[in-house]
Amino acid sequence: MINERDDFLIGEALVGEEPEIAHIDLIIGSKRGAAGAAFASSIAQPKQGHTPILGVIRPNLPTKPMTLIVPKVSIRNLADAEKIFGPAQSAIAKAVADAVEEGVIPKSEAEEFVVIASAFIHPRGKDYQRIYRYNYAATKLALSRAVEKFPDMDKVLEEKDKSIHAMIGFRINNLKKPPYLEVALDIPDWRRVEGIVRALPKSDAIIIEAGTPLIKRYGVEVVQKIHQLRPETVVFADLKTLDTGNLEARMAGDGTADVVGFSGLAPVSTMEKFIEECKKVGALSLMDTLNVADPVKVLKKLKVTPNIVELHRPIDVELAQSRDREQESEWGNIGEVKKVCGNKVLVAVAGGVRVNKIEKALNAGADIIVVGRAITTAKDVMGAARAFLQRMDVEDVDQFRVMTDF
Amino acid sequence: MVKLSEEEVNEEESVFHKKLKIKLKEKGKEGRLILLQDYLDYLIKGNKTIPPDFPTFVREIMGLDERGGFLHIRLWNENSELVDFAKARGYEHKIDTYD
Repeated sequence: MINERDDFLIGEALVGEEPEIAHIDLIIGSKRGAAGAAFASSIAQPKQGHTPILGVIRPNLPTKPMTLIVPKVSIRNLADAEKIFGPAQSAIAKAVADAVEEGVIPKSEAEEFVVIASAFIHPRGKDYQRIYRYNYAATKLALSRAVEKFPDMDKVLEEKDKSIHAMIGFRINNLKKPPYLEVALDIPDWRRVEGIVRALPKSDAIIIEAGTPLIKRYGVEVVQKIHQLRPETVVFADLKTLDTGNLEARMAGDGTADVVGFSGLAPVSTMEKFIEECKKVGALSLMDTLNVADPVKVLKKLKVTPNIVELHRPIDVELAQSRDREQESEWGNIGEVKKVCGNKVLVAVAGGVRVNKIEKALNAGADIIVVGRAITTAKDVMGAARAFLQRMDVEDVDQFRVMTDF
Repeated sequence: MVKLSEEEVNEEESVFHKKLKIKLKEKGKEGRLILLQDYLDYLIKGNKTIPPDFPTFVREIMGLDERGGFLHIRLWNENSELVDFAKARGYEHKIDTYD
């Protein structure tokens, strides 16, 4: 079951509902290896409030493999102790024995192995039935996961960007599933912005851009307020930084921005410092090519490339061109931009994008469609945004985020 | 200088917005200060980020005309933090179209 390289196996499982919810972290391994040493060391050196106890099915009947239960939450009084010594201890011990009976742990190895199970019992948990059942299920699940080495690395890589941690309540979207609709909020009026943000449909495909005028008026703190209204939505702070790259990137990162933008007109060292700082603060970097004659030439000069390149038509030009509706928008050579970044970049197109231009932009290779006034000045903001999303053929909510591990 | 086209001017003006009529608990400056204190208390106790326009909001509240004991505050969505606040803190209020 355990090869020489592993020495011991590790499993984890969370089962049930609060407050009796059971969370088990366990290791299983040979008495002669690290697991055995940890077992002996723990039982010989109990810590106040976290006294390890042997798992017994009933008094005077320890389970096999021998199992040490370590309470994660400090035992403060007799009531806490009774939950661990009663239903949790019995459930964990029974689950280990059943795992042997069901062949999860080979019977021939029962004497060879030890189990150390760290158990979470909430002090508010009162229902012994639920404590027993949840801890039994969590232990069996954690054991089988340990044996199967769940999750494999591919699973971790697949799930890391679409999972919600129960304790945080939201997830971080790393923009791995384009296309996205970026709604640009260039309006420097918070109450109006709040109205638009609240009216936008709940969709994983929406990015909210805190536009430069909005940030100039209120500072990067405006990003935090947008996140308070929509914790799961990616918020882009469009700083258009030209100098002090690391300083401005950090300011926006501290302001909880998911994406931070700099100008492609900035000195190369500023852009590189900006991108590096974004990596440090866990934000994605975006290069805005507004007024940049040759974005590909600029990208080739950079030692590090941004996560997103926004091919941008300025609002002033857009307004002048809007008089002639027949004139086609030009976003530049998207394929060449991707190629020079090793195809590890998202390309956003901005400026004058209307619903009827979506197909053209997507066919040209755009990953992010930036839309401003077509949504923000619409009478029906939600309807306008939905029209874009439908034309982009994106799901409202990523269905694959539903946890189906057990 | 770039000018907006006629179509775009109409587009800008056609945006739907409303107003929150909120009754002050006391008349005059005192009533406004109570409202602002209450709003700040609501935000802080509710662990909400202070709105970025708070200084502007303070100036607006202190400068708005009082109409029969009510202040008329411009809104863009009925589902607004200000409306939530008015409900939570028991302010007599009404949402109306902006005139």
